[in-house]
Amino acid sequence: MDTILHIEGLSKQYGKITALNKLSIEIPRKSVFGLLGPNGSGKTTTLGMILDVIEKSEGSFSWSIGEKGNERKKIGAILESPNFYPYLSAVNNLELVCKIKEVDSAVIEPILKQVGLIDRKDDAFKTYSLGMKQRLAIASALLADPEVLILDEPTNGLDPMGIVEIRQIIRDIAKEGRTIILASHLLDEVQKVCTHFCVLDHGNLIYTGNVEELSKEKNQYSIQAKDEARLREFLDGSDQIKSWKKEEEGFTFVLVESIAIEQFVEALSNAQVYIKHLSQITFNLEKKFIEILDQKS
Amino acid sequence: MIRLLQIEWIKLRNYRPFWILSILYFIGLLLFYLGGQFLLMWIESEGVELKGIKPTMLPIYDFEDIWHNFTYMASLAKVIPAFIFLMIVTNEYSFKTLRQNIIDGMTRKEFLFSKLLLALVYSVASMVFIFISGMIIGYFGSPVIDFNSIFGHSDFLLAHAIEMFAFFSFTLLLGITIRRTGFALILLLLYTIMFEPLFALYIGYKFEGPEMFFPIKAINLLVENPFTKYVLLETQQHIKWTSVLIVAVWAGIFNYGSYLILRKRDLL
Repeated sequence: MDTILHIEGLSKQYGKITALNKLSIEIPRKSVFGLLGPNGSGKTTTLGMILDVIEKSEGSFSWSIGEKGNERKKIGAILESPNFYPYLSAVNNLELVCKIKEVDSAVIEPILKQVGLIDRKDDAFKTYSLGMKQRLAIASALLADPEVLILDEPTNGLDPMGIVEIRQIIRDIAKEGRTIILASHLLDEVQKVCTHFCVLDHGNLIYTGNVEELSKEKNQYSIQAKDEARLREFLDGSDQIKSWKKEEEGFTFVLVESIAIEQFVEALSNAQVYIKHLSQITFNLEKKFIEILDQKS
Repeated sequence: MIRLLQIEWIKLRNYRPFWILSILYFIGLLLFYLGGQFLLMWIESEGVELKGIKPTMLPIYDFEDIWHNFTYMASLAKVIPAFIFLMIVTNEYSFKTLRQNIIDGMTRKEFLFSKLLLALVYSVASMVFIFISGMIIGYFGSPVIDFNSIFGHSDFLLAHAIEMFAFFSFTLLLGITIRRTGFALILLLLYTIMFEPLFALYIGYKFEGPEMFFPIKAINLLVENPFTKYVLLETQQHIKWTSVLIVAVWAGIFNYGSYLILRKRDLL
């Protein structure tokens, strides 16, 4: 795997509180990597450390981009809220970022067009709405043609229209083949844009996976029968299913890949199990997330 | 270095409070200089004589005294540019732009260096302003105008720039440590006006000498009160290089302290 960021045993301690506990992950190049977890799980701490704004207590990380020591110039990042000089215009704020990143300021206008701020480019940042501030932050992150884009809760506080706009911008950026690291507690958001994700809880890494592979678990079904005991007995003895689980109402099961659902229904019929309900389950990250947290607790 | 200055320039060129306060400082300084003569006229009108000399006869605008007089007067007002500088530093925390600058690719060392460059430029600008004001006022107010008398005591101009830079370094340390303009300003005033002078007084009373090594005292000693010469007391003639050395060591300590805090502290 071509890794763009390698994190090894990264920890952050605030006195007796462990904000992050020995995190080890590898982020594939050109992936959209979701950092999931409830508030206070260590997402922002992780991003802060890999961006050098928070001192690590232990562990290490290494970027495989740009010149050693100058990696941050090839990273575009927004950590929590957009931070700019309130009295400066969008153009002046971006001019400053260009100077820091050592890129030509000719890139400013096309990027302001891309994020839809060209008409307000000379207005002071303090006069912008939250959505406009967020768009300016994305413009700033894109200035130096970054290899990696780090976004921390990019849709926080936005109205539904703003959320849709920002998501679209993220998708467009992902299509350009950049690596995106996205921290969010909005699972729907991550499922819609991410290719990989990990779950943090109380500073611990509790799951890491590939959204695409999980979505491929297409052979997952939900089933209810008139005679639940008979259905349980059938599921228990069937060699057509990989696994099954009792739910609040009925059961869920994963069918063996080589078996078609019609064959399974026929087998049910032969065993005289009469079904009330049978439907395929589409992948839902929210459900997976709750499952992961439940398993952990 | 040019890049760091350009970065500071972009940050400040449209920052109105910086320009308003700076203009007020320089105009205030000019009025302070011009007001000196009016003060002497008022003192004279009150019938006061200084050891038999009429106050308006005092050569406060004469070359070469003018440099010592003007730099001393400027040193009394240095808290104003220090406040401007403090505000610029603490704004970086309140706007969270220091964090964003680092995220965008600046190193903490570069950030500190950019602020020190700004301090240096402001110190030199203040020195140049005093030089220009001194040249103009001296031209009209001094009976003797020749190269030797004009530049005779011009080393005080250099002392002023060093004094300003060292005081800015102290202010930078306070700004980086405290991060809030109001608290940092209160501490700056309390320390410079109250804590250190009282402690220096106590130490000076107990043992003679060590108080000159105190930071603010050392900075103030770069340009001592010149007006004592008008009441025929001994006065500093030139910069004391020992004072410059003490102040340079303090500036080094302040800036290294700022660097350590900036390097170690999380930017949240």
